[in-house]
Amino acid sequence: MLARDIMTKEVVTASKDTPVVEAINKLLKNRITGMPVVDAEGNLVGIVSEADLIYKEESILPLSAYWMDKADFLKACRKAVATCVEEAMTSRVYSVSEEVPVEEIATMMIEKGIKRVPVVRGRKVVGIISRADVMKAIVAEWPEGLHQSW
Amino acid sequence: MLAKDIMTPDVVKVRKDTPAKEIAKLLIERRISGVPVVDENDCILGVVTERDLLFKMKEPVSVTWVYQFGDYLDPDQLGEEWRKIRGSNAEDIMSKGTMCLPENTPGSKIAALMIREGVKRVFVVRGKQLVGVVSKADILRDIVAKMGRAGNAR
Repeated sequence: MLARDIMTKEVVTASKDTPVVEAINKLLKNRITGMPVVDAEGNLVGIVSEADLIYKEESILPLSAYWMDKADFLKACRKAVATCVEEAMTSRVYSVSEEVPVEEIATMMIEKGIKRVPVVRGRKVVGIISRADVMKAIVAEWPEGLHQSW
Repeated sequence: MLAKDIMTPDVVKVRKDTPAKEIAKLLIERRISGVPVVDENDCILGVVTERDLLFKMKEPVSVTWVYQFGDYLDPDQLGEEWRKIRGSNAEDIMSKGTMCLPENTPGSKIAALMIREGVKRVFVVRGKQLVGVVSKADILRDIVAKMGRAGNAR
């Protein structure tokens, strides 16, 4: 099974200048945990997720200052004062092409600790795969003896 | 806002012997990313998340690879991976060391803990008993509510 077989084609996206409040409401309304950030041509420029936006919770900075190193703290400051998506998003995004096997995506999600992967054709976002999408594939062909056999 | 104000009180939970496949279906149906594993007294034993289930589709570490790089691999981590790949019920695949907090924990502290521990949800307990769950979405709802109030005050 490949990326194209399990991906969601109607992708909820944000743009760099989307206000943070609007981005939060968009996630909550669509019951999703993150969305790709795209430019006017639909090219992938970043990803913004719950994890980026919870820094907006008040007085998170004084609490974080106790245990974060300088680099993490500066990142936290940037996200805590963000007013638009560009300032809160993660710009280093892992993406896959439509031909990548599901096994590779599952491995990537575990090892990189990512929750969703945009599917791109060139740089254009054509789909998205969440952990739930991979799980649906797992349930569909539950490995009753797949890994047990070796 | 405190944990008890923002938490979801009716927590979807499973038992030690719930089959892994049932848990996967439950997560998909309820659109959640993890469930606590509880005993008969609602005490938390661990949590099964999407991540634990993804191991069923993970490319296994090949035998030749282990042979070549075995010295550099962490045996505990390999054991953990093995357990999750082969496990068939909640007890086999769950992760332990679940983050539990009392009901009067402030929202800001919960958010900071989520960032520090890299967890998506924390469980709210009264004594040892599970009474609720706070997800990142609950924190976001708290944030927009506060932003709304700040906006009205201006």
